[in-house]
Formats: sequence, structure tokens, C-alpha cells
Amino acid sequence: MDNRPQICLKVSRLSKRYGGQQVLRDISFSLQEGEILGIIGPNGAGKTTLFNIITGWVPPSGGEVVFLGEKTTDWTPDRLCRGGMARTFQIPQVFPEMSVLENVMTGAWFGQQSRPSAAQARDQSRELLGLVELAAKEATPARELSLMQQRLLELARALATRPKLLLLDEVAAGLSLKAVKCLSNLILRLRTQGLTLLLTDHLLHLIMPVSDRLLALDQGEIIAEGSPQDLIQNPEVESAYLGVRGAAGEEG
Amino acid sequence: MKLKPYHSSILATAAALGLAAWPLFFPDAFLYFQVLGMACLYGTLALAWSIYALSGAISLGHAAFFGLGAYGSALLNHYWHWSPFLTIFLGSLASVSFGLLWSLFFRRLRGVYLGLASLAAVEIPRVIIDNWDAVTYGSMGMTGLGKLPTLSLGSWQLAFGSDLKAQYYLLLTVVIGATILYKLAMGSRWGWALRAVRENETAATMMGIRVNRERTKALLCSSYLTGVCGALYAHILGLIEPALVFSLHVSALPLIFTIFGGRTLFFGPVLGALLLYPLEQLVFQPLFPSGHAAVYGLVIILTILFFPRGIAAWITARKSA
Repeated sequence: MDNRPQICLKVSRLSKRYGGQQVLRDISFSLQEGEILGIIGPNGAGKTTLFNIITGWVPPSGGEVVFLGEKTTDWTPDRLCRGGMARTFQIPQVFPEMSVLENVMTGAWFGQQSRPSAAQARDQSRELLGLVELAAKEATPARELSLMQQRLLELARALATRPKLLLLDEVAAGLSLKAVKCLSNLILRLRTQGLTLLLTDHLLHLIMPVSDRLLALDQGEIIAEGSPQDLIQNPEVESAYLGVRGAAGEEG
Repeated sequence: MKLKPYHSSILATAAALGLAAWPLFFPDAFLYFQVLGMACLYGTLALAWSIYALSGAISLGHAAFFGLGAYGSALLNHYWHWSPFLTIFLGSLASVSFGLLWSLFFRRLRGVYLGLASLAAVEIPRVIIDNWDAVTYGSMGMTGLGKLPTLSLGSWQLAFGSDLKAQYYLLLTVVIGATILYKLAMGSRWGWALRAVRENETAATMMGIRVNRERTKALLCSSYLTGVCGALYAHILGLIEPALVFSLHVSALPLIFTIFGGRTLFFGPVLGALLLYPLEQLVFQPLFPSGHAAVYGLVIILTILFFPRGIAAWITARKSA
């Protein structure tokens, strides 16, 4: 039992309804420690809603989330953060007036389970800024950064909370191919440090090369699961992406 | 070009020493003792308001806390004849209780919505006190409240209630103490958390900060200090009535002083009060006896147009440029 990788996150029969709209239906999957799982799907497939439920922003209509062996379905996002779950947002959420370093320090200071001193938080933050190559910008107010830099800052700040599981929502959206390449190298480096990752993207160029396993979501349901190579050849995934839908999928 | 943090501390210390020293040279300037004493009280009020504002909340209803502190203290003094020194601290707990209700009911409100709700919130304690004649004497108010007592230190007699100079020094001590506490709070871990909440609540939550808890703590501290200001005010005047302490004027002043002085620096709110209140009382009142309070409106418009970060930020930015 101990030799096998531990389960980091387990999602069972998760569903979400907004009024008459079924946004997620019976979502179940699990994630082992050190694994990178990518969730793909067209816009509106429910990827962000799934993230919001896992990270405690939105209560599910049914089902449960188990994180590191504890049922966390009704935990608040700040508690989950201190418990080792971090995320980034589709639209970067930075502290605009704080400097880049102060942004990351906030994560180190408040997000860890142990409470580091201000000096320790600063040292850890500098190290992370080096990792995302923002060290030269440490005194710049975050609002002056470009989109790519804000993404990287958000990533460094999330890492500063010392997460076991990191969720990256649409992290490649709006980035150039070159930037995506940098980002995927970074993600692969993080994994070697034992981090478990859950990514979403509606384009495939970031998620394909880094993920161990992919989950395809369409209209709130898992339509396919497997290795990136398998999934890309799956006709259902292809039709979901191209918007060509068979009769069975119509008005699902 | 950023001002070194200790520069503003030096400036503030020099200003405090100046405020403490000038009466030695003008021992009979009673009008100035009175006006600057009240300016210190309003400076404390502005600081109290700013504690809550540190969490990003703009309150337009701090008169509720001011009035409840004033009435809490006045009633304890009136019915049980306790010393104002005791009732000021106990009576202000009424403000904290209202703060608890406030944080419970307004926890989901932000920005303009919180501002409007807080504006309306003042009416609740005001209407109750206005109509509960049997206990509060209603809109008639109460007169003959215990003045601030005299403190004897050996041969020193500090008659806070009757000697305007002693009263000035008392209020100066209060505002300096409050400024030091405010600076310590801003520089603490808690102050950092409030700053994160103010700048981006979503991100703050994501960084493990308990947004509601931190904001509630700020409100409770803010409401207590505001209550203390109200209680001091009531005992300095020796009288109280609902229209006086629950007025829009009381809610607006700390906001005006803070915006004028500068909300980003620890001494901004006090600086605003110490400059504006004497200006209004000593310059505009003799010139325009009927419309002197209009200066506040004028000053706010000019501040927002020309120094949106306040006088304090403007002065320090110029010095370091």
C-alpha cells in the first residue's frame, strides 16, 4: 500500500446545476501524487466551474471532493490554500499596488501551514521570482506587468503557499507560442519537485506535451479519458472541438 | 524615487514635538487650545475610520459608532455616576456591539453598496435613542454630563474638564497614541493581510487570508476607537443630543480628513484633521459665518482633482523628487 503513489485528489460524482442549467454531471476522477492531469474541452464545457468547486469557490449541487484523504467539499478557499491547494485564475488576480516581491511574499506569509517569519517569506519569494524569471522586476508594481508576467507572478505566488496540488486555469490563454514553451518547461520542472498539477486549457499546445493524462470535458460531462496521444485521436473529442456534433450529442 | 519609511516617521515625530511645545510659548492662547484640541479629537476619529478603510471598506456611517459611544458613556455617567474616565472605555463597548451586528449583516456588501447601507445604518440607533424618552430623554438630549475629571499627579493638577490647556494635552496624547498604534497595525502581519484584502479580495482569499475575519477585526477596532471619540466629545461638551452625534457631518468628517490628508501614509488622516479643522474654524468661520462648512466640500473637490493621494503623499513625493 505504501509503495503505491498516494491519491492526492479524488472527485466523486460531482455535479452542478445553475437553475435549470446542468453545468456539470457526474464527474469522477482521481489524481495521484506527482501526476499532471490536463482537462480539455471547448469553451463552456464546465472546466472553470469544476475548478471553482474543487477550490471551494462554488458549492457543488452533489458529489464530493476528497483532498489528501480529507473530505473538503465544504471547505472555504482560504482553508484549502492553507491545507495545500493553490490555484491561478483565467484572468490573473494580482495585488495591483503591491510590488512583485510583495505579491509573492503575501503567498509565503499567509498561505503556508507553518507561519514563516517576514524575512523567511522574503527569501523564499526571491527564490521563486528567480524560478519564473521575474527577479529583475521585484520592485515593480504588479499592475505594470504584461499579461504573461502577471501569469508568471500569479504562478510564483501560488507556489509560495507551498502547495501539494496546483490548479492552473487556462494558464496559456493569450500567450505567444514562445511564452507557452517557457511555461511548459517550468511546469515540467515543478513536477520534478513533487508537485501534483491539474491544468485546463481549451487549446492544446500547452497541455498536450506536459500532461500525463487527459480528461476531455464537453457540456459538463467527461467524454473521454486517457493519454494525450489516445485522446487526440478520439473522434468524440474531435467533434466536440470542431463543433461538429453527431445526432446523439445534439442538445445534450 | 521613494521616500524612505523612516523619513515620514521623523516628519511625524517633529510635528508631534511641535504640537506639544508651542503652548510653552503661548500659554494663554485658549482659543487655539480648544480648536487644536478638537482637531486632535477629529484626527483620532479619522484614524479610527481609516482602520476600517485599510480593509478596503469605505464607511459613510461612522456616526453610528460615534453616537453610540457618546450615549453609552453618557448614560453610564448619568445613571450610575461613574467617572467619565471609566464610562468612556465601558460605554464605547456599545459601539463594538453595533459593529458586530454591522459585520454580520453587511458581510456581503462591498463598495458603493456598503457605503449606502452604512449611511442608512446610522438611522437605527438614532431613531431608537430619539424615541426612547424614558431612558435617553429623546431628542431633548442630556445636559450636565460629568466633565472630564481632574487628575492629580503630586502637586500637578490636570483639570481636563475645565483647563483648556490640560484638555489639549490630553487630546494630543490620545491622537499620538492612536497614530502610533495605527502605524504599528499598518506595519504588522495583520496590516499586510488587510492591504491584500483591500487590493484584491479574490487573490487574498486564494493566499489563505480569512477575508471576513480580518475585515471584521478591523471594523471592531475601528468602532471601538470611534466610540471612544464620541464619548470624549460628549464629556468635553457636557451635553449630548441625537442630532449632534448621529449627524451626517460626523460620518463625513473622518472621510474628508483622510482623503485630504492622504490615506496611504500613517499620519495622513491626522494631518488632514490638524490642517482642515483649524482652517475651517479659525479662517472660514470668521469670514463666512453662515457657510463656513462649505470649505469641506471645496477642499474635497480640489483634493480629488489635484492631489488624489492626499496632501501627505504630495508633500513626501515632492521632497523625494
